[in-house]
Amino acid sequence: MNLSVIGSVIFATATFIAGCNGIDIRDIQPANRQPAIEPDYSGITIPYNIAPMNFRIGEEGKKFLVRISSSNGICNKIRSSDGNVIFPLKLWRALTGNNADSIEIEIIAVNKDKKYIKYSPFSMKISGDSVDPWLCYRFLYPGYETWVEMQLILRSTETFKEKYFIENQLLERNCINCHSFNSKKAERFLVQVRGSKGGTYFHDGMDLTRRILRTDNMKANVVYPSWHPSGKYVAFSSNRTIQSFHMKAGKNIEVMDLFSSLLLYDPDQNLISPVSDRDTANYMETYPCWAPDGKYLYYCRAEQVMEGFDYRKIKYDLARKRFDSDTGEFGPAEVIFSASEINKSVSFPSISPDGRYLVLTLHDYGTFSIWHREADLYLLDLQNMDIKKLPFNSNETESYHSWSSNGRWIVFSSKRLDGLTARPFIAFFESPGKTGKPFVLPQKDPTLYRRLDKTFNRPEFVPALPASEARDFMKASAKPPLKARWIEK
Amino acid sequence: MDRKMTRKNLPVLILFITSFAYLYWFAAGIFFYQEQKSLFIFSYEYLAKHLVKPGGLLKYLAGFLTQGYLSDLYGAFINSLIIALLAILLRSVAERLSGSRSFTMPLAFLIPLGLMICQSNYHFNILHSLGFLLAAVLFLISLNLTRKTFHVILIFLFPVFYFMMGTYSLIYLCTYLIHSILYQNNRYGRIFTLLQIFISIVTLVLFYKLFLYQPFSVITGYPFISNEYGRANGLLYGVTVLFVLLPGLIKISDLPGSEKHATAKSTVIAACLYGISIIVLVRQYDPVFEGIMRTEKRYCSGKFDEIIVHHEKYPSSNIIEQFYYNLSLSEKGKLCDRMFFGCQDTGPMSLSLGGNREQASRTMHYYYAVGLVNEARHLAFELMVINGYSPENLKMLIKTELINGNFRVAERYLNILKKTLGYRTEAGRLGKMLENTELVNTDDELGEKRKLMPKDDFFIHTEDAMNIDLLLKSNPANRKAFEYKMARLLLEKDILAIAEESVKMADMGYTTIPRHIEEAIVAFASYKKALPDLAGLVLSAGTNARFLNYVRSVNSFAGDRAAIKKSLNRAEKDTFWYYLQFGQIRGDFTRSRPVDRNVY
Repeated sequence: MNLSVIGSVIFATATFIAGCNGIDIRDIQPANRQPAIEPDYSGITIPYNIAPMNFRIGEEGKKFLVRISSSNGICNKIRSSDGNVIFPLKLWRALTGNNADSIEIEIIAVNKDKKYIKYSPFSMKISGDSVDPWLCYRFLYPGYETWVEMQLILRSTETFKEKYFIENQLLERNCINCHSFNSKKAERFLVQVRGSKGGTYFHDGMDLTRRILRTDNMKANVVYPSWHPSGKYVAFSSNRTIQSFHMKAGKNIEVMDLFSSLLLYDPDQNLISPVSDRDTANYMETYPCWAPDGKYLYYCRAEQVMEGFDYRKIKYDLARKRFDSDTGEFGPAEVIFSASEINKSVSFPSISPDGRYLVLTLHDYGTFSIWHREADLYLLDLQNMDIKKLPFNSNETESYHSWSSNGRWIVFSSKRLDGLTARPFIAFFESPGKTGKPFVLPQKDPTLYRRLDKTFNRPEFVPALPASEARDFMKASAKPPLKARWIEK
Repeated sequence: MDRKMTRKNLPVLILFITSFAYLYWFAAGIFFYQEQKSLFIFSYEYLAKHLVKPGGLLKYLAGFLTQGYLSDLYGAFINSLIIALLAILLRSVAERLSGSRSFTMPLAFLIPLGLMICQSNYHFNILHSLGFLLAAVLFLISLNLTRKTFHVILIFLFPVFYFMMGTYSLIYLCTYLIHSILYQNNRYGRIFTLLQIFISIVTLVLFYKLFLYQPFSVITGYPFISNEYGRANGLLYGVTVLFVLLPGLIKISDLPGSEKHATAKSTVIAACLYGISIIVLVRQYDPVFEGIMRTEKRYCSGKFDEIIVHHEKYPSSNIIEQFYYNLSLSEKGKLCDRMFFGCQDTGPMSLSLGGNREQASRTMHYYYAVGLVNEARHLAFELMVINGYSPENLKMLIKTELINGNFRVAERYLNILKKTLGYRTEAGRLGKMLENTELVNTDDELGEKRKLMPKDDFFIHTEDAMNIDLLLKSNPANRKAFEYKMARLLLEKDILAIAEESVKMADMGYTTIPRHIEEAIVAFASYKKALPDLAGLVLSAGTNARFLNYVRSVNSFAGDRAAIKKSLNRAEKDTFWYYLQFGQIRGDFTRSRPVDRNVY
């Protein structure tokens, strides 16, 4: 920035403050630093259609003057007496619209002695790539074994509107488990429920039905799902899971699989079959994830544990199998990232819509990364198999992640705010070298995350509102479930 | 006039005094129990949680009143006041319907008397009394409306009443409809009845289909069924039926001929009802429950010495009281010095309650006491998820997070505790430790727990003896865990294992051997004719002499066990030797008590 621009900015600021409040600019002391704000939204990259990035000023002051200027020429101010900066939606749209590529925010605090402290401005970059309008997540206590209240919530990313997609009070307080939307056909989705109203609730675009996918041939229930892009199949892992509680400070829970295998479900035919090959007996296979073209099924696998196993030695690698969607046949397993060789373990593979990149969670051992503080997100380039740590990580857990429909945004769970509760962070991604600083999903009340004792579990972008709502699940639960048939291929 | 007023109000006054006296002097444990079951938080989030169910505001109001249960005096007063007010309102209803005929008056007291008996149950929540009170207010208002416009307004306000009172608005509705059918025979009366039915149905449908995400059982049953008592208690259902049928009962009692000797009849009936209520109350009195609540209250206030003194003076054979006695001894570092000064007839189960999950609100204190801080936090968290915040689980969450250095999570919990009426001071004290590890380390309570924690990781086990072994392996300097282990061995009468473990005491920093362990070692030496390896520690001079005296006393009765038990003095009975010889462990504690597992 050249001197004349700096001069103009100083003049404009002085005029604004003096003009609005009759302040003698000689009373203003520069803080020579950016203000502390909560959540930390300085230097982030946001989609132009995101909800207002309300924040709280973490500086002392009786009153605050906030000046916002957008690169599109819109300039405005907000006064706050409690430190909360709440953007009216209309103003926010004006600031982020009209091809704006950044907004700058400057804060002046008025302290008890009526002295003015001006903080260095901070900015947010605005991306022209939109983010999906809805985010779906499970909302529950970051608990151990029990639950009473649990919801699957659809939250608008463009406003603060929330919809209860599933409310477990309507399902006899059953446990709501994994949810999965078909990436290409969002009207198709599934939600797993455990308990008296248990089963897998499928929506095929027309009807919502409850299905029991476990057959006598299966050792355990279906757990982690992934829709084939065609919508014709769903890959599941079937896991027998246990959890134990750590007694040393710094660790809470360990969730382990005693057994897991992959299954393929055909929703139209209501048939479920094993994804078997010569290796299956020796490995635990979990976290299936289809490539966007549907030609490969990616998953994590570790050597089958034996009695008296050491849970710290369970290391999952990333593998894949070729799939022929016409015949429903799989090729042999191929390890594409051997995490065990670097003494690490992989979970939650998720592939960008263009099929080029795969984001995974890497942690020291085991399969359930959300309780691993060391868990971080890594990016695997599927063209050259280069793996790189993403710059989104923190000292706390980063885990479950998913891509936006346009592949420009990644939403992931991070426990960086308090070490216990997961919050949905959204990060810009264009290429491995061009990413943005992640930001936590904005809330109407910027202090919400500080108070909220519940966790945001498995956040996933949803391109459009699903055709059903909470009461539809109650209706579906009242009908007898469809039982899947087992078929060996 | 004054005499008439006095005679009119005397039954209400007697009702109030009886209720107050019973609750304050005989059933005050109820207030501690209920105060510990909930925590009223002055925050929008807490209010919002109550807005998702019909009648949530009534529960919110009940929660507001319950926070004062820290004082037994207040608890007895507010509960008695509500049923006295209810009696006054129902008397007005009876007067309004029967034109002050005295024969109907006892009917008005049936419901408050029923509620007075309900109140003597520890599960009974003040929300039920409040619900009936508000329903009575509404019914009385509906009876006194003189203008049709006001009547219509009242009918159209039903959705508001429903949202605020839930089931109790439906109870009011039923009473109103019965009254309308029996008393409103004019055209407007019939129109209002139909309008009320229509508005009520529309209200229920809208709340069920549109406004609230709740199953139909909650739409119609909340907050009546919000707790165990409301779901299962026949007496409360009886009171409800009486309330609904009250206009009909008044009508029947008002039949021609009933006014003959009405005053005398009503006095006799009222006296009989009152007498029956007193008998039921006396039968409801539960000294075991009261004892447990008294002990638990002392424990939660950190009055460990009081628990020890009380239990040794009035030994209780209840496992919960023995559990808190042992816990208090452990907190004072005296477990293996004094445990046989109290009653230990429930055996090793009284040390940890066998890790019983149904007793999690108590066992979390045990885990906290021995240094298994993560398990204490785990249980406190589970309790919070199931029941919401309570004073003890919230304090436990704060303390364990502070000990673990998770200051950001601790701060969130502290901010909740700060928004309560009775625990702000505690929040202030604990809040000073935020972001100050040094202050945590030097705190008498938290600093000590931090030192007791495992140094290496392991998973909690369902077998508590194994947890103590794993803890000791991980932190061999943990004397509290060691004494719990030794206490278990003492209660299991395993003197061989005690002798084997005693060698570790010197390395743990013991300079003297705890009294009961010494007694076990002397018993071992007497049996094996040799002392175990004590790694340099020596037995105190008096122990051998006490043992010889004990043996002499016992031998003097030539094996007559009954005579021995009768004749030994307190000092001889307060020993491991006496327990070894005569201690009998009663069966599974959950089968040993008459009522339910949550309390016993």
